[in-house]
Amino acid sequence: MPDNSSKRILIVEDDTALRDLYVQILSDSNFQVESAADGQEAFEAMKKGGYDLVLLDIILPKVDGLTILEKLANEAPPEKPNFHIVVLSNLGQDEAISKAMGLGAQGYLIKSDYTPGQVVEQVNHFLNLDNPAS
Amino acid sequence: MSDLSLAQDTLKALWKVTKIVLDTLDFNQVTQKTCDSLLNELGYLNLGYRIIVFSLYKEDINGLQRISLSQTPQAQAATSISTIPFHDIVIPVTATDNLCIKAFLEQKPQHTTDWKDILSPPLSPEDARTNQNAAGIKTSMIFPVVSKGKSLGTLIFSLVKDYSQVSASEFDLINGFTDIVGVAVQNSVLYSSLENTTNKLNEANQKLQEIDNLKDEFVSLASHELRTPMTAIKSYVWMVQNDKAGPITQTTKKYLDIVYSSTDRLIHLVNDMLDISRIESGRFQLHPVDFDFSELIHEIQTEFSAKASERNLNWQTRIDPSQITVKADRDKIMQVLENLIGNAFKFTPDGGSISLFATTKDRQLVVSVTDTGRGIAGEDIPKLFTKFTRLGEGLPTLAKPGTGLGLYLAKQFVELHHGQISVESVLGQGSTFTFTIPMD
Repeated sequence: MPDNSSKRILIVEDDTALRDLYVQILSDSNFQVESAADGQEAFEAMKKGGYDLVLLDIILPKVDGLTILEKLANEAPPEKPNFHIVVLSNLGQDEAISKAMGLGAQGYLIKSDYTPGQVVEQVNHFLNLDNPAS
Repeated sequence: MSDLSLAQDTLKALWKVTKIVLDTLDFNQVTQKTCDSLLNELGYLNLGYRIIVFSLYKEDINGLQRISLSQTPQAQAATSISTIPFHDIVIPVTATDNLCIKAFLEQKPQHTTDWKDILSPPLSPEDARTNQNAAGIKTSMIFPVVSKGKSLGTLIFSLVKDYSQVSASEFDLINGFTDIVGVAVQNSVLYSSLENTTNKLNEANQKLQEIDNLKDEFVSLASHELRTPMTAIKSYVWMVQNDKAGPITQTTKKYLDIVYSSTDRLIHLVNDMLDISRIESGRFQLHPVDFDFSELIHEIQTEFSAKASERNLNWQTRIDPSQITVKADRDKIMQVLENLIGNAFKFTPDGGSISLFATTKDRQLVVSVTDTGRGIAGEDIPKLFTKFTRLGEGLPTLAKPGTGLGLYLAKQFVELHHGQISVESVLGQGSTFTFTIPMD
């Protein structure tokens, strides 16, 4: 198993069952995992920044995922950079996808298409994007 | 002035008003120009003409309604004291003593020195004469406005001279003029009804588009709501299947396989419906990328190989030339292939053969999937690519029923790529599905 212990991951997911599951499966892969249950919490965490990867839901209480991306891009740049932002949502609208990609998301995954094992694979895939040797 | 030069002048004048009147299509402008151009542009004011009134036959009220009036002081004087406002003056067609009606019905010009003949009813004879005195009119001539043999309305020309003083050339010009007005009015009525219809169609179209947007929005949000619990079921089942909650028995594993694949089928159904909704509202967007088709073939070879050896099926893929670069939506082409191969597996008995062959022809990628399955009856082929067609009756129970959307979507995806899909089949011997898409 690769050494993931230095990688910080933020999971933004309002559905408790799925949030717990993603936290568990990524913790099991030795990532440092934090989570946010609504858009406000997520925005504050992402504004502080410093995550290697953020798994971001779109439809969220308080502030939706697209608005978070918009605010981070235009109003409140993160104090420390978030290296990878990947949308993990069950909303598959083309408009939402292209908007998210335009606002700096590197990937857009439809949650229901991925098993927990495949989510971990995708996380590793995106983390390795800028560092193919590792 | 010679007769010839008079005739020439009449023609020139006619041409001039023709241009003015036919130049416009808007009904209100046509009728207003009709009333003004003869007086102003052709100088009929100097010939003693003072008021021109156009009336149009209205079917719903079965009468002649005043539509437009020349902009002259005399017209102003008559309308300002009239007991009925100009546009409310309607002469019922049943009032056959009224010369307007007579001209309209008989399609022959009339004339009078008494306005009761043209305004009563609806005005009383006294009121009609009061109006006439206010305007200082001696004579009025009433001409029918006719187009293609059908009376459309009338034009009233009111003069400050006697009828006997109206020259033959004046009369000819007015006659010709009313013919032109007939054509112009007919055109503008057609045009405004066309315009009306166009506006209504535009409105209807806009409403439909709004409804379509709402439907799209609804399907998007509904599928989001459906996918969320399905993701939880699928993910937690996966956790248990993969011993994340401790070891499980073979039986539990078997049961969970069924839960997992059923959930996955539901997820696919939602995905398919979402795609169809977007395709049908014209909002589906392909995401074309350049990719090596042989890699995709390799992936699909691996994906189906376990299933093939389980059922002792001869499963082969071949690509010639060995590398083909295409520009297409990789995920959607993969979905088309998975559908065609999935169907082949479903309809081919154990021990049979399934093969995939990809090649190029005239800058087109040509892919065919051939099986030795039960084949498709000729009468079923036209139904194959339509929505909710399922020809899977009588399959062994282990085969999972389809949604009836797979081939429909495959065809849509291929056609979105400007390609074509077709099938050849012999009942009892097997089928070959072939699709082509442009390579770039």
